[in-house]
Amino acid sequence: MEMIQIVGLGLVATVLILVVKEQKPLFAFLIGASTGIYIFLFLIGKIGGVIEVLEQLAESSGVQMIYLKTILKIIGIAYIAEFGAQIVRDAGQESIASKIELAGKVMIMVLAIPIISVIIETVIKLLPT
Amino acid sequence: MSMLGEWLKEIIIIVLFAVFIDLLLPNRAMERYVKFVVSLLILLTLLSPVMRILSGSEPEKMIAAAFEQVSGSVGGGSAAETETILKQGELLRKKQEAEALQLAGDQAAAQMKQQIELETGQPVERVTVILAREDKNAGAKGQSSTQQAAEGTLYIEEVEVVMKAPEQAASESSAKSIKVQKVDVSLPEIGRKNEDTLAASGVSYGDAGDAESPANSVGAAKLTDSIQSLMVREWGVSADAVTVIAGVQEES
Repeated sequence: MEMIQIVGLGLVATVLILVVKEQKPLFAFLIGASTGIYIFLFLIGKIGGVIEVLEQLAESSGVQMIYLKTILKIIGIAYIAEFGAQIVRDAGQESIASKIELAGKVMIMVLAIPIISVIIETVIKLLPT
Repeated sequence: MSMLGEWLKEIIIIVLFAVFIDLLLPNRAMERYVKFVVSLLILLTLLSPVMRILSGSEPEKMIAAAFEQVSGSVGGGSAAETETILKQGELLRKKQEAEALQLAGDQAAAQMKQQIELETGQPVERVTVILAREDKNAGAKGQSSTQQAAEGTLYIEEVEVVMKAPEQAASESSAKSIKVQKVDVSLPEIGRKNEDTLAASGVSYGDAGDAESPANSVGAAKLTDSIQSLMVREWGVSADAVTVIAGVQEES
């Protein structure tokens, strides 16, 4: 049922945008952006459920929470960057969209830095001096 | 053996997570980066027994420390740091407030001493003024100890006047101390009040002073009364807040 709601909302928004686009391109963009935000907020609850299950699983199986936190942060960054980039891309600003994606990638790499540093430390200790 | 089992379990769970995340990812553009980080995590899990043997410390603790370093340098100050700074600021503010209260109390005491001497014509050993904030009347010793610097109007909590042993009184009754319990009276702004009383006190010194000067053993109570009434008149302190200790035994 929820799926039908979302698809229906998307279809209505698409028709509206097609109608409005000829006269007012700005309003068409606003409709598109707000529809996207609505669907995103709708999905956040669902993703929250999934993440909760994942956390419980990790807790019961004894995986370190810091690993799970890192993974979840990566997912969050990927989703948010993707969402923002798509909205900007809809408005026709391809270059800004690619900058947002670049920022997302950099943030993910920043998350990797501690892990890399620990691994490199270990490897250096392994090597005979 | 149990350690091996733990290790295997960890690896399996992490790999499962990695697959799940691949599914959750929104688009292909991020995929390479995410895969890189996730593979690093898997590598770390694989290496964790080696790390335990080599360094003796838990790998997750090392990662946590590394994370803190990174977030401290990249994020520009974490929430904990802000917290400590705020706390320090609060402490400094309290200290300043305490100093200000003490200073105000000292000045008020000096003025009171002058006024009392003028009024009664008798030497005053010392005047102690204890200031306090209205809403936190617990604590707040203006003279010595620390006080809670809460917002609120200042008021004079207690005034203690210690008279020098006068010549006449010393002969008859060496020490007389009259203690009056304190009662709080609000004094809206100590600074402004000071100026007002300075102006007002210039007028009112002489009249009562002459009458009260021959204070004897009988006059001790009278002296107290006059000091109290002076305090009430000039400073808005209630008579009960004023403590007069007459004739401290002291060779002066």
